[in-house]
Amino acid sequence: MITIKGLKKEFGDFQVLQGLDMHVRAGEVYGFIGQNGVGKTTTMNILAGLSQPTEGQCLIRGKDITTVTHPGDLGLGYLPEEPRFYPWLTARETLLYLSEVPSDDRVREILGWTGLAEGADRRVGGFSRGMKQRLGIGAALIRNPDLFILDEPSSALDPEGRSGVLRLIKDLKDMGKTILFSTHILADVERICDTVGMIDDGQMVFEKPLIQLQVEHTQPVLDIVPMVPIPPHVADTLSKLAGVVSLTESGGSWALRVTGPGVSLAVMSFLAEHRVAIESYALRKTRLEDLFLQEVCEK
Amino acid sequence: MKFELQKELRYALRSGRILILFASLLFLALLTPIMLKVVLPQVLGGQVSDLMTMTQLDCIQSYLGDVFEIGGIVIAFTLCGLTASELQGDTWLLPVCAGKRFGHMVGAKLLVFGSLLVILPVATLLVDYLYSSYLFGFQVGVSAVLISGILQSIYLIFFLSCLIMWGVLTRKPIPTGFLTLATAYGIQVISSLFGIQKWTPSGLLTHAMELNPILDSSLWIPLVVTVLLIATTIRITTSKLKCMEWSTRSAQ
Amino acid sequence: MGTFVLTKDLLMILSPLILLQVSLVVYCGILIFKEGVQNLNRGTWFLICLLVNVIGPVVFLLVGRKEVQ
Repeated sequence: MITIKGLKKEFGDFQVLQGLDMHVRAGEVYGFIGQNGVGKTTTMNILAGLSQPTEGQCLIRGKDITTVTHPGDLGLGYLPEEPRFYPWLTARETLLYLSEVPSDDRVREILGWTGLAEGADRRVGGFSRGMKQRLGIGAALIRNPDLFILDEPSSALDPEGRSGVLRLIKDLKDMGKTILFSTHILADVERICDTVGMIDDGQMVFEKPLIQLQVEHTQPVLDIVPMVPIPPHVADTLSKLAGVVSLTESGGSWALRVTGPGVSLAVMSFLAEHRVAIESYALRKTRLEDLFLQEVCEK
Repeated sequence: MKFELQKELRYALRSGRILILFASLLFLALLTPIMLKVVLPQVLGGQVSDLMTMTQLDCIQSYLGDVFEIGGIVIAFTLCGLTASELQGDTWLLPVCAGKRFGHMVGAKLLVFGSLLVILPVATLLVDYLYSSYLFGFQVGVSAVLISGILQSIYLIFFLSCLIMWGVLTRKPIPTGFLTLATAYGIQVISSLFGIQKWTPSGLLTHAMELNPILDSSLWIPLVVTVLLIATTIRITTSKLKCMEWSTRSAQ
Repeated sequence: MGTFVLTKDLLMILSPLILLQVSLVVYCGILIFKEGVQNLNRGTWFLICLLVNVIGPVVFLLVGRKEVQ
């Protein structure tokens, strides 16, 4: 759907993008993560046709975007970080104004979908940020494009507003749309994304499917919380079990570093054999947030 | 195009822009006759005012001059945000992404506010005409007044196109107002200094002041020049919009 | 310089202007107390509208009217 090769963008002397590569497949939700000011918004502005790249190639549906003269001809739904509407128009009038072929039915449908049906005839000026953000997504959908570019749609919203926006993105995915959205809230990425791309210093650090990312970065550590303290001789034998690398205890919880996730079966049967009842037994997973911090720290 | 026009009309109504323009022009239309009839003789004293007898013609001319000077300021600062605020507040971003054409967006503004700048000044000029006839008696024919009003409105449309152009070039409302006033007064000063009024939009105002009931053939030159200037400013505006970087954060 | 006397004639002459001012004050008053104001407080804006002939309400409508954020 989107292919970016060696994208560069300069503002005066300042190089925001330094050869960014990116690939978004049709029908997926692509989470674009990175710290503030590393070029997420710049990339999305270029994709939306609002800004011209200094160098590099951007293809949307195989078509070079620099050949498209008007941003509206790219056929995508774009939502800026802070969508600005005319405060003196109502939500209904805004959607009618922004639609290509104005239709009352379509507007009503979108107002219902975004949960704005009740506020449809109120002036947008009095809307909360969450409502504006939902109206923005509705406005992006009104022309029914197959590609959506959402810039920080869920940031700066309260938890309720966030889950509302995430629901809309999920709905869009169910409609078979391709969605590229940027965020710095990694929990949101874990909730809805298929692919994650992380950008730092104007370059792509990694770009992988979320599942692969989770598997690759699952540390082979078993966290065990026994119901009764494990006797020292049992612990000693456990540490000598094949596949167990090390064993540490802190506050009644045991951490077993193992060679691979497969060792868990052996550990489980060992504990059962020695009649150690356990409260919890889990393979530790690295959250995206840890991974993110790790990548940023390494730089 | 229909929805762009509807949007501009809603803006004009809901932001009170129509009311501001109408109230200010009406105020000038009502104030000028009173100034000439009541205040001026009081200030000058009995004998001097006997020497200067004010007529309806003086009154309408004085009003037309006021609209250019004071009305110009009011129009400039009432409508300075027409394009500048759209760019400053990023409100044009979504319409552009939704495929609105620049020509339509600018054209709708020119059409809606242009028509307002025809209707309102002509209406208030008629008020001034009737009110001054009540105070001074009829002297000028209504057709002459209507022609003057239309000429002035054409000039004001040129004024509007300057507001639209400067708004896009500066992206800031208040400088837009000042630059437009500077353009309008600059043209006026230069044309009267070099005596080239019949070649500039100011010529329209000169003709309007004459309150001539017959259309003069010399009118064609300033008329054509003004229309050409309007077309040029709109052309500059749209071509500037076409190559504009819309990115909300130009540098982080 | 003649003394300024408010005669019935003068009142007749001034009536359109007074009408304009009164209607503007009423309209702006409604806006001030219903929609709210910005840049200055309500009382000040109302006094400006009331006392400054026509220019007061015009200035209020331009810069004092509350813009819903």
